[in-house]
Amino acid sequence: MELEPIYPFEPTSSYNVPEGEEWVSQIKWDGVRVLTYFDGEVVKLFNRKLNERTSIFPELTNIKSYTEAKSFILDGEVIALDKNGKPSFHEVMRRDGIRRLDRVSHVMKSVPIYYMIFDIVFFNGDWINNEPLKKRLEILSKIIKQNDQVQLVPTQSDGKALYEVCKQHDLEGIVAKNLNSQYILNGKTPDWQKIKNYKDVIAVIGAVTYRSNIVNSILIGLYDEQEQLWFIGHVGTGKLTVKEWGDLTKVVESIRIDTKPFINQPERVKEVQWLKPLLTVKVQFIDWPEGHSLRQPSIQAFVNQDPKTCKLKQ
Amino acid sequence: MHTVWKGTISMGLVTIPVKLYSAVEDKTIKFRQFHKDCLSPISYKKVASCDDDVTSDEIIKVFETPNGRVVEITEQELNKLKEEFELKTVSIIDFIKLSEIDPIYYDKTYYVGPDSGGAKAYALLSEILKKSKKIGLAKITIRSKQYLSAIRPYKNALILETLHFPDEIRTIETIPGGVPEISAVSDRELQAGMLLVEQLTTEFKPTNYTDTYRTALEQLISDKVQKNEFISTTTEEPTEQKNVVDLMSALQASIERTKDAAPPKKPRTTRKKATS
Repeated sequence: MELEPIYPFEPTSSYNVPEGEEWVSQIKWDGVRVLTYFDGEVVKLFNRKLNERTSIFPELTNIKSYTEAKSFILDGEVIALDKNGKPSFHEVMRRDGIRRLDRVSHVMKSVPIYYMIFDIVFFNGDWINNEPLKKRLEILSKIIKQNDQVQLVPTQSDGKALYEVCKQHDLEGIVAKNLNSQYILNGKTPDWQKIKNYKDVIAVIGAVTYRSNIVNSILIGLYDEQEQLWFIGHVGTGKLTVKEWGDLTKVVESIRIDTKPFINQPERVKEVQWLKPLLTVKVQFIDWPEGHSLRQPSIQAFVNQDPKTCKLKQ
Repeated sequence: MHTVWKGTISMGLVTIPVKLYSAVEDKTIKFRQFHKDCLSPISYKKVASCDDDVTSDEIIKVFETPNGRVVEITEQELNKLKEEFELKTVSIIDFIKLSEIDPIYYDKTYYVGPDSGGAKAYALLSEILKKSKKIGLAKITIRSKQYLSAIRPYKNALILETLHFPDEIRTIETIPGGVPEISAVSDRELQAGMLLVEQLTTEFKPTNYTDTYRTALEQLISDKVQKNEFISTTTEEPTEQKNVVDLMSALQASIERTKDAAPPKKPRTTRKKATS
């Protein structure tokens, strides 16, 4: 492939919807960021860490089904829906987490995915990342023919209304974007601001508790700058199925340790099994008051991330 | 591809940060086992004579000597050994010709990929090996097992082949019945055979050969799937299809409603969200 994969532009976090004519908002889809590269001959998919995803989401390589563009780099989010038709990180991880490629065709049927396109950085032979967002969105709407699988993320001028809708539908949040902004490769500036409805964190599992010999809750932590692991919460509920708890029980067997991996003392937890801090998990929560543990945390999915990158300051 | 190993290859003063990926893929079709009557998956249960549901914290590892006596080896002892002998650096100790290694020694093949900052040294080593027509010999520890390994160029990449140690190779004397003497062969038979070989000699084109058994098995499976010959199982999830298009239109409708309901906005008021 002629096109080198890029590190995509990332939003900063914000608590207020920015106001003004130059701002538009889009729903923040809770899935995995995937960029589609088409150099005119070959289609490839890469995630934001530059890991190739072409054979994980093969149905998205059929670009002719939604565009006639001669070459491009599209930016978007791959999502999957749960039984209620709501975007679910847990479901999409059942696809993204596949390690054996021969499982793909099987899981493709049980977990259909959708591609929510929101930007274009390269088009018909030219880099257009320095063009204003307004122009890039115009190009996108001209060249993308939406279908059952590929959708353009709509923009709303009224960010507050969109945020209210996110709350009503219990979606992750919104991303407000400045119409005059450029797409900075490997950049992260307030030209894109995410305003989250619910919060989540990717944390490291430092211990588990058992009931009837099956793991039934996890103790999670984050690293500080000195690489010390701080306990931040005790999570027993979430999206995990009985089978996933069973699988976790097996995985945990090989990483048991006798000493506490956390620097601080987890509150009121007896009979825990300490673990080598190797497994990472995405946890959603309502609130995280200073000096306390997470309020109402729930497990979303296991993720494959370097534990050392799970920092307190995220 | 999944990273199998991460470390460095060193040769003299050059160190190359690399990752290893499996170069081959097992395509054997896997079956699951279900119970004939209730159609639920079969699982394994560990049992001991005192307990019919042994949990992992009740299990210890022992080594059994030929006369049936056992010694316990603890996880701590194993971990200590692992740490002591784990090689995170693959040092190339010798350079040899690839043809010197009999294929009997080959174990597994891994692609070597450059890790961050290793691209230039990687290209150098690959070029050196190509030009010198040699391969590097080195020791490596993968998943707590030590291997001898051969690092060789392949197209523009490097490949690491793990090799068996000589004491893992059985001698030909272990073939039951032994091997016949060469003198049992007559000259005429030999010449006829040689002629036949000459006539059938061709170039090796791997794509000419396929796993015909697997293809037939795949066909059998896909025929059943095509004909909808599914048996209903207890683990099957409801295949109720929810569509993203429905979701998008539901959201659009919500947005219209929210906009209609909201009174005309007063300019320049920033309300802080309770949830933020």
